[in-house]
Amino acid sequence: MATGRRRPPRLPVLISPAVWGEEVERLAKSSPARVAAARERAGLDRDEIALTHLSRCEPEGADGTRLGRLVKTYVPIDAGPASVRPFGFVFWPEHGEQGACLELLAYGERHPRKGTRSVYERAHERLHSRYRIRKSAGRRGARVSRRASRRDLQAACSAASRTVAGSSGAPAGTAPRDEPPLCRRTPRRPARAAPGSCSPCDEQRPDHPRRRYQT
Amino acid sequence: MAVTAKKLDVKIGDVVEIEGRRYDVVSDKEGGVTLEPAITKTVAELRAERGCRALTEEEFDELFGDLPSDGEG
Repeated sequence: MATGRRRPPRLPVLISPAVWGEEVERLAKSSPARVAAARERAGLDRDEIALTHLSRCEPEGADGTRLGRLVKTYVPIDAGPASVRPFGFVFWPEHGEQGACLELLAYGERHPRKGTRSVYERAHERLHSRYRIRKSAGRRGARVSRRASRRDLQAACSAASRTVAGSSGAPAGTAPRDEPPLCRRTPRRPARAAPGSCSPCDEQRPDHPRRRYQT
Repeated sequence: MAVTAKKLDVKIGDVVEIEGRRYDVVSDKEGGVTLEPAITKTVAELRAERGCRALTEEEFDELFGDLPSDGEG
């Protein structure tokens, strides 16, 4: 039975000298970020990149970035856990003369210290040009405001619960046993995580890159 | 000798040039601003230089539809 390959296992990567200059050569020559990028560059030029090393960017990130239809890889590019791969390449998929390929858009730290843009913020700026993140931050502000409203509602619900509990003779602050709680949180669907990606718990570890590179 | 500060009338998103190098004025996420080497080349310019086109939605889904995402950015 003939089985046609549904997609190529590797994709070529195009790297504009201007983008490489702005993304990698801005870094100090001996910095871990620049050394890691330079090490991967040879492999990308020679062997292209395996689709298994890629993951999709978020259409709307928590930091206000909008990177829908972009893909990324952690650096160093290997199968290690995300917590030991603190950098990232963000690529823009396109169709060139030879077929599908990836154009390098941004490189940098995934979770930099304050005052430095993350690789996602850099990709956003290159994709959308300036000012857009600030507008997105406005939407994030709206989300925060909605969260605050939800908190207010929950506070009102618990106050009402206390009143009901007080009237039924139960200790203050507890709802009557046979009655359903007035306010119930909707369980969140767990996010689909990439293999080896880090969880919020990982970031509490002292050796997590976000903490390590803050010093 | 006292140092006199040069006052800059810039805001986040501006580009400043210092000794021939361009910098973006970006937020330091603590209420202030900081300078970073500027991003000047946009995707549109890159695409125009190479003569490439964006993948269609179908092409993107075919190639990358099964890839995971990590909720990070």
